[in-house]
Amino acid sequence: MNNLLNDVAVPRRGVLGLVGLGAAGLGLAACSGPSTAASDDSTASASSTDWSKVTPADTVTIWTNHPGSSQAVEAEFLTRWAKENADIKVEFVTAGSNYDEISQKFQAALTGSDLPDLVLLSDVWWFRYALNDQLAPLKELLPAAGVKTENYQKGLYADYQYQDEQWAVPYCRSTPVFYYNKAHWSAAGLPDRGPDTWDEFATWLPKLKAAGTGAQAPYGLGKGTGNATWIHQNLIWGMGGALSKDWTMTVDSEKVLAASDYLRGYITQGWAAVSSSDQASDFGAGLYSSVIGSTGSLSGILKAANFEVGNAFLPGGTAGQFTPTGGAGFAIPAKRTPEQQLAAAKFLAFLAEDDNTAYFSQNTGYMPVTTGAVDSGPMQEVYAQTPLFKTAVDQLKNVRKQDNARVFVPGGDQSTVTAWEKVMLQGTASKDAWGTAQQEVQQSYEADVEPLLKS
Amino acid sequence: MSVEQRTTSGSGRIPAPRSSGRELREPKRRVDVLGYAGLVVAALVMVVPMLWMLLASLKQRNEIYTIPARWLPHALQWQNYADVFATVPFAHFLLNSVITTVLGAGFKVVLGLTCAYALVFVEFPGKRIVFLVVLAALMVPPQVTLIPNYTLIAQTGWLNTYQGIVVPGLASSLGTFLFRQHFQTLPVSVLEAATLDGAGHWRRLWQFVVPLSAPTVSAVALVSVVGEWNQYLWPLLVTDRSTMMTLPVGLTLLQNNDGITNWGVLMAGTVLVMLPILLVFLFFQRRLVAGLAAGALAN
Repeated sequence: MNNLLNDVAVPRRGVLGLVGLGAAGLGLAACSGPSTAASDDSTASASSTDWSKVTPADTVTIWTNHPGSSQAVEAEFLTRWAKENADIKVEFVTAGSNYDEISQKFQAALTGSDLPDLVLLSDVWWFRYALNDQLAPLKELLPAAGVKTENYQKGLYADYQYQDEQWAVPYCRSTPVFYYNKAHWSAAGLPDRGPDTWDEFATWLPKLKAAGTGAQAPYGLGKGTGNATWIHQNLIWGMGGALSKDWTMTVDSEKVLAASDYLRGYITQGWAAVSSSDQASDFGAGLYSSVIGSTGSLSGILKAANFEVGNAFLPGGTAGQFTPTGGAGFAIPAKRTPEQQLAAAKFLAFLAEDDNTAYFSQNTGYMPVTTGAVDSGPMQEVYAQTPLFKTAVDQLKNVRKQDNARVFVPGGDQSTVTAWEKVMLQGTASKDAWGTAQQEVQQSYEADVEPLLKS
Repeated sequence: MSVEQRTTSGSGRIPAPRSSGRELREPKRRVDVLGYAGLVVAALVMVVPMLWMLLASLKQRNEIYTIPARWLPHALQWQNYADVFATVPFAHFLLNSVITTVLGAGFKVVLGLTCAYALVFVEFPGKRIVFLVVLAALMVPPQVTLIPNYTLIAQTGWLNTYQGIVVPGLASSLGTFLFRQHFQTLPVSVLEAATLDGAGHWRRLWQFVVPLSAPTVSAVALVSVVGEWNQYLWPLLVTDRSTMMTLPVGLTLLQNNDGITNWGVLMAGTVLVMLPILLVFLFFQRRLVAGLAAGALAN
């Protein structure tokens, strides 16, 4: 798997050239940004800078929300950085408590000139800024700053590509994984593994319910933005559906409604309950026998849980076994001067060093974003001690590019999350809930995306 | 009109039908019971979450999640409060909140008083239009002004400053409206006497109008204090440095994206944020009710 990640160069448009490389290669290639042809002028500003003549600025300000409780990790990074780079002062700034708040703050800041040098943007936020030329193109800048771009996990790096340009780099990247309480599994007489398919899970849930585990429900559904739709794309894809096919919105298509009704059935039968938007905390406290949550929650779950935790790939469906990637990456605002951009890129080079990537990963649970870090001694040690950390990396072979309706249409995540919540919490008919979401997403696409897509 | 008599459209009086005191008291008692029941329910809706928050702030992590819910902590976990101070620069956030609240609420009250005084006691052309603008401003959601205000503050170089947090919210249309409504009920004779004494507008405002309006001033001050103290989105937008963060913004440092939130510590932080304002509110609540009523009763 890791060799494949090293060797496969992901083309910008389509994945046909990768057919011969097998399913894993296909899955990773599909992580790349939306497929639209490049226009000649799209990178004019990037090409116009001769980076060899630029001197980096002496400060770098980073806007973050400290994902995965990473304040201590950031402090360690600053210590390591200061030892090698005393001439550039780096500061991590709390720009909100979640990805949405960072982006709201960034949105406001774009109207002025007081911008960060690096901003953490999630899977649902970076594209709108790239589309509006508010992010600096990185294709030439990164190598000039000493970033070994070929060392990034190909699929994760390709997630931020559009118009033959690179708009961000992966940082705190995750896939959802299936977490389960081994004690509850044992009490229900289940094998020590995750369910291979949703249908298999449906046969396990009554056993878990009858096992008297003391859990509120056998399965806890996460809610809220950055969560509910992200996770349950897996179910929709497994049933052969999608929220969109490229730029055609299919939010209320038959398969989406079927997935929605299927999950609602779990609730009506008492097999599942809607958790808070922090289902990892709920699971860690023993409230649910299983949840699907971010791999970035793993460290916290292991610290919080007083039971043995298991994790596994997401369940598959009749159409296959798929997982989305998620999390966030660092981008550089276009309004920063070349000096500031170069200084920021130098810090990205530092973060991409295998030791630092491994350190971040082992202390948070996020995936190592460089292949060297995966193979490094520290990570191999972590995987040997706690194999749960490796699940997300191994699951990369099932990765599928997220639906444009969620990640590239402004408000798409919010609209689809609202639909999930209406169905799961209020018992709204799937057709009505998803019909409303389809209208909202379609309107947003036509107003905010379509006019800006370069043909 | 007394219960004993009902007046017809003419001048004659028709005796009211006799009814025993008990018959009159029964419906009143029923109304009282229903009224108090409603008050109890409303109070519970507000108090129960606060009580839960307070108790959760004294629990260990796993105790918060017990099902069925256990209200009382097994052992008081004061460590949660210590952890708040250990995790974030809480004292600094507190200082920032106090400064921005005192400045913000203080200026809001002063500007509201002066503006309302002008609208009631000073003759100038377009006075009615100005009042309509104040009313219109009441209808504008504050979110609409976020971006223009941010741009202005950024261009002024006021990001990460107290004035950047405070200045954009200084004009209080609600305060102006309440003061104006109340000022219209003040006895004209007092102000005429003040004018005869040679008092100018400034002296009339501070020595006569404000003392007569103490309940309304208290009400507006309290509403302003609570609003300033609880502000989240605006201070989040205009502050980057932890040295300038206010308490609600600083609390985000106790929350985690993809990590595991330690709810005991977060609840402890929330209790500490709420406590000062709750005490202020409890202390001034009578004046608040009196003041708002005074504003509402104006014609």
